[in-house]
Amino acid sequence: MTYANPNVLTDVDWVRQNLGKPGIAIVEVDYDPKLAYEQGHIPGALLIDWRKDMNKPDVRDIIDARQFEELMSRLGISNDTHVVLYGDYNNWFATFAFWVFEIYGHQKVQLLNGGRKKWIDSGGELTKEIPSVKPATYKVPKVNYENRVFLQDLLKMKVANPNLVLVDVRSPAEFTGEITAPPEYPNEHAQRGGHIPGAINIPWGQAIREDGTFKSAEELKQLYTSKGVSPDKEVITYCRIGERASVTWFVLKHLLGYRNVKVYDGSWTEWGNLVNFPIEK
Amino acid sequence: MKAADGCLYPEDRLYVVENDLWFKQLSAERFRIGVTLPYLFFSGKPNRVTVRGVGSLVRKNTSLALLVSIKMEGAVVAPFDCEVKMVNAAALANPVLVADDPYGEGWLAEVSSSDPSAMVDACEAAKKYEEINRERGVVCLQAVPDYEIKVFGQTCESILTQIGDFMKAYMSFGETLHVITSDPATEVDMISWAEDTGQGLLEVRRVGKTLHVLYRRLV
Repeated sequence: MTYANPNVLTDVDWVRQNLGKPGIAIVEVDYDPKLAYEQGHIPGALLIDWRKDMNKPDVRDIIDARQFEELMSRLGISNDTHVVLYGDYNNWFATFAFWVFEIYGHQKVQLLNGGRKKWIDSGGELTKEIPSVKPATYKVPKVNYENRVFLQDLLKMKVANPNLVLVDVRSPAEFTGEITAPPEYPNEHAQRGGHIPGAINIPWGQAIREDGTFKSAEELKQLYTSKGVSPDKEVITYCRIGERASVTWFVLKHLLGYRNVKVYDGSWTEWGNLVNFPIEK
Repeated sequence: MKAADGCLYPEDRLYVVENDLWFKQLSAERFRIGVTLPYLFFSGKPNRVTVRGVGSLVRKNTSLALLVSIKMEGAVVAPFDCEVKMVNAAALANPVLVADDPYGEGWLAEVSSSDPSAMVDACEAAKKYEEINRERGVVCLQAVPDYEIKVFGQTCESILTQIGDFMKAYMSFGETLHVITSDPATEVDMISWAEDTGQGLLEVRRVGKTLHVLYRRLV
């Protein structure tokens, strides 16, 4: 059994063989560039600082279409550039970026399977040199939110749709409310712990091998269908701020070919802070 | 030799500071290697370590080893072409060794090279690291902590409450916590807090305006 959409992934060997080739942009997406990109990155790789570049500074939201165009232009990426994304923290933020690239309709984009960790683990070359790029022209053709759900729509779907499955991809201790965030994320706590009523818990990491690459299609199918997350369902994934939810979204939508999968990026930092909203433990 | 910032650089070996590596020469072309103590304070205590396999021909500027901690997926980069002759299986099986004894039991591999690039001695390494540690915000405490929290710009009371809550929520008995704070008035309170609560106080260090306190969870 192969992945439904195998072209969304590339591997370290392909990247090694295609370093420096024109028309390809290797982009590192980091939560903490100081401990990642700045310590050494894939030769020729550009940086997207996830906190500064992928999110609006004044409102809690991902960048809008115009800001995305500016970012692409600054990175020298044009509409037909082949983009390969990879990054720190188990490739979470690169996967989130992939989800954003899809919202803004970029055609040729792939995730490096295993991310930064796999590149290092496989003896990849690293450099601290920052490449110089010429600004490019970029135009977002259309904004596509079919993979995204906001709170108000989530509430409507919860009421109206019996076919809905909410997948909480956080750790079991967060799901039960024992903790609201692990120690290394001081800004991601919520007023209360627990999960969205009706959600089931399938931690994101169960889809990943120890080296950071995705499990096989067969293993993934077994993992999700055994928990009732079948291809006929309407699936919504969430975590604390949405980046791990995008990993499970990537698996279900692109590796298993599910037709109806959305990320609720408001996630627990939104739900767990809402006044008078129900919480399950 | 011990530097002013508390970091240790054994004098029986050489260093490539840019790559955070030490090299202990075993024979003409063979070296035992590991990461330096200040690097571990920067990268965090590793919970997973992988090293390129025996027989691997590692080219300069490619990664020799991976050290994964809570906050960083760190690359140990080869400063020159070399061949891996041996890896420290004990460190791979038990990554705690790397942080607990980086210059001894926590070695990573033995490599051979016919053209090792310039390495510097302990004194020179200490000098170079002074600037690097300052940039990285590194101080070498008596142990590489299990956890680190930064608390800035808050009242003393709320800092102490945060520390207590953090310990209860996340730490096992015996684990250590490095607290970094910019409130100079808290020093006395942070010391007496340990006495009052029964938690272990291992070290207090002031660097400029920043206070570093190393606690151990005992109760």
